[in-house]
Parts: sequence; structure tokens; C-alpha cells
Amino acid sequence: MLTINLNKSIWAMNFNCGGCNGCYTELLLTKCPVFGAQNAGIKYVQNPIHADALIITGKVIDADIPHIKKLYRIMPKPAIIMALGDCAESAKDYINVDYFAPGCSLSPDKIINEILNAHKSKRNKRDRHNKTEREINDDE
Amino acid sequence: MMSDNYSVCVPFNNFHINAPFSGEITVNEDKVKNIDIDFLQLEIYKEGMWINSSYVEILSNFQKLSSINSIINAEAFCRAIEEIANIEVTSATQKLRIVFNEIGRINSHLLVLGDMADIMYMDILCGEIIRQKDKISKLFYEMFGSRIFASFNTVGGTLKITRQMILKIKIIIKSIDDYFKGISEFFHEDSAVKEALTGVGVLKDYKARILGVTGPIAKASGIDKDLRSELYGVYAKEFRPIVFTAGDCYARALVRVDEIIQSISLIYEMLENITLENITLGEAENTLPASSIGETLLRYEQSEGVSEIHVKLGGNGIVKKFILCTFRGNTVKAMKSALIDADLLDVPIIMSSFNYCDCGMEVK
Repeated sequence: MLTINLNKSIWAMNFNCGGCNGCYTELLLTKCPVFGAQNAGIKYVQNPIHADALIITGKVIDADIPHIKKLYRIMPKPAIIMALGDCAESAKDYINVDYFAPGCSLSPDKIINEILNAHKSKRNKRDRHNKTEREINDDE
Repeated sequence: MMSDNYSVCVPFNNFHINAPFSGEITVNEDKVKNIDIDFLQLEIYKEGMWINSSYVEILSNFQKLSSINSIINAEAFCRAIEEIANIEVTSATQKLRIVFNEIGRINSHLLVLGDMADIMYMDILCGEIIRQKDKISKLFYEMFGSRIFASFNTVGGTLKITRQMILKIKIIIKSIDDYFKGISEFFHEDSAVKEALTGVGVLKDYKARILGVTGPIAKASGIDKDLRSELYGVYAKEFRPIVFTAGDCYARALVRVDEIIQSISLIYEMLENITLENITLGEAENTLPASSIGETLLRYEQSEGVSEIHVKLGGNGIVKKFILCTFRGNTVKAMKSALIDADLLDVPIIMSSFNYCDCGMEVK
């Protein structure tokens, strides 16, 4: 039971690259009891060490990239990078984005759905990661 | 023995701060000794992007510059154009503009207070505050079809507003008013909030004056100045800026809390005697005479400080020059000053209380 619950929870960190801050405010609204991100198993953290997912909002420019890479380096692997909103699509030009949620701007309930979808992709990624580890062990 | 300085990478944005910055904080014995901030988002808007465009095009882009201050920005731009083109706006229209400006202000302050509650790990308080903000988002969605951007102002007037819309605004504001009384009481009286915020990130009166800080931050440091009083003096019975003198995070929170209550009473007052028949509906390009040439500099009070726009019209509704200068540079300097010698653990709450970059960026 515990394992199932852990599978369902996702700890996410937001990196706002600027712009109109619309996606950022809508992301904050997901904490509201009406939408209840926590009920869906989403927890927002402030430290990359605790984060499973990095949610990028806003227009990504050259100057943001070192910071995003730095955060990703600190995050425990496998971690996912999620681009939230149309502006954040520009992240694809610089880094490998695991999940892109289009919209300008997404409503809070859609954001929760997209984060959960991203989490599914993370689980697949983790399975792949474990598999490769096993394969490596087998090889050894 | 004094320990050596070490650098801490500030957790760029986390969930609380509205725009990222690069840079590091130098720390000695858990106290901030130096902070080096370099903003990133200024590079997005290239020079010349806004020149030689029609004023309608700039209006639609300008109000999308900031999600939280879209109404206030658009209203200021419209006022500037009206000033150049000598377009007179009726009293009812201006009252309705004030109503929407104040809704925008409530929206912005609720966001900052929600942020601060979040940083203090008061999840229920944060949820309740954000819930009030969501009511405004829903109102915008019903009226304008977007939760974020409220395209309401046009040059010479406003978009069409019906009686049902006014009724809807009244219901939403009444609902926020009812809930916010409890939140306001909590901020004013709760010992945990007081303990967390009192004496943290103090910005003294003289320092605020030297650095040219405006908005709630200046008012929290005892500067009795609000540009709204010039405009509202004509329409409102009484308008006095909310001022606190402590200059700490608690004062900055209380200014925002009390301004929300003030805004709600202003909205009630404006809606009381508004006559819909007298509202001018701006018909986009038709309202602006082709011969209107000239330039103006307009200072206006955004929810987080004073911004300036410089508009130059070159006839036929073409904008030859458009410059926006926001308060952000001054606010950042003030924030740096308040951060020096603060505890490292207090850095997020101090930064959130300054809310340095909520209202768009400088455009030239």
C-alpha cells in the first residue's frame, strides 16, 4: 500500500524564467483547496534536492540555461523537466524537455492533470533507468 | 573566531519569487554579507520592438506584459493617449476604470500575501488567500474569456459593460470582503505571523527615500505618498494612503492587507452611483483623430510601485516612441539593502515581501 502511495506522489519545483508570470500565478493557484494539488499527490518543494520534477514556466533565454542545468544536476535522478505553457516551449531549443504542456495560460485544474501526466512519464523513465541498471549489473 | 565567508546560490525562484535572477549571496556565520543580483528577463524585449506600431497594437501587447497588472497598465496607456489626443472621458467611465484598477490591485496583493503565507509554511492561510484570488480569476474569465488578462480599457472609454456584469462584480467583491475580514484579523493579531515577520528585513525611512522606493514598500517605511490620491481625489470621498512606519516584513504585509480592505470600500463607493448610460464605449480606431500628434510622460501607481510611460504619437494613431520605466530597479536596491545582515533563513520571506518584479519589465 505504501509503495503504491509513494508511486503516486510527485514533488515538484518551479523555475520561472520570467515573462508575464501568468503560468506562475496559475501554478500557485493549484495549491488552493478548490483545486487541491496536494489531494492529487503533488507537493511543491523549494529545494532541488527534494524535487522529482522541475517545472519551467516563462520564456527561456540563454541566461536561464546554466541555472536550469545546475538545478537538474542537483535533483535526484531520474528527474523530469517539464515545460509549462507556450512560452516555456523555447526550453526545447536548449535542453531535453521530458514533457511539454502547451497553453496560454493553463488553468489550474489542467496544470494538475499535466503534472500527473508528466509523472506517469517519469515512472516510465524510472523503470527504464532501473532496467538499464539491472542490465549493467547483469553484464558485470 | 570568525568563520570565513562562503557563497550560497540563492534558490533562484523557488515557488515564491516571480522572476529569476542569477547571482550569489555571500554569507558569514549565517548572516547575509553581500548579494549580487543580475536579472535575466530583461533580455527578452529587444530594442525597437514597440516603435512605429499602431496604438491599438501596443495596447494589446502592453497589457499582456504583466499578468497581474494588465488592467492598470492598459488604463495608464489609454490615459496617456487620451491626454495627447485631447479625448475627454466621462466621470462614469473613469469610475468604472477605478473599479477595475482596484480589482487588479486586490488580485496582486492577494498573490503576494499568499506567497508570504506559503513561505511561512501556513498552508491553510495560503490556500484561503489564494482561494480569494481565484474568485477574481473566475470573474475575469466570465467577463473577458481569460483568467489572466482582462482586456477592459480602450482609448476613450471601456468595453461594453452590462448591468449583469456590475452585479457579478458586486457579488464577487462582497464574497471576498466577507472572507478577507478573517484573514485580515489573522494578519493583525496572530502571534505566529507577528513573530515570523516583525523586525525582519527592515528598510528605514531615510533609506527608502534615498533609494526612491515607491508603492507598498515605501508606505511600509513611513513614506506617505500614493499617486492614486491625485486621480481618486476627484472621484472618491476620501482617500488616504495606508502608511506604517516599522519598515519590516510585517509592515509590508499589513500595508497590503489594509490596502485590500481600502480597495474593497473604494469599489463599493464607485459602484454605488455609477450610471451605465454614461459610460463611453471606446470604438478602437474611430476614437483617435488622425491629426493627434504630441508626446506625454505619465506616472501612475501600479500595485507594487510607481511606473512611468513615455508615449509619442506621430499622427494616424502611430506610436513613434514608447518607453516604460518600472520601479523595479529601485525596489531591488532596497531589497539588497534590507537583505544585508539578515539571517540566511529569512532571505525568502524578505524577497517575497518586496515582490520586486511583479509588474512587468522595462521596455524601450
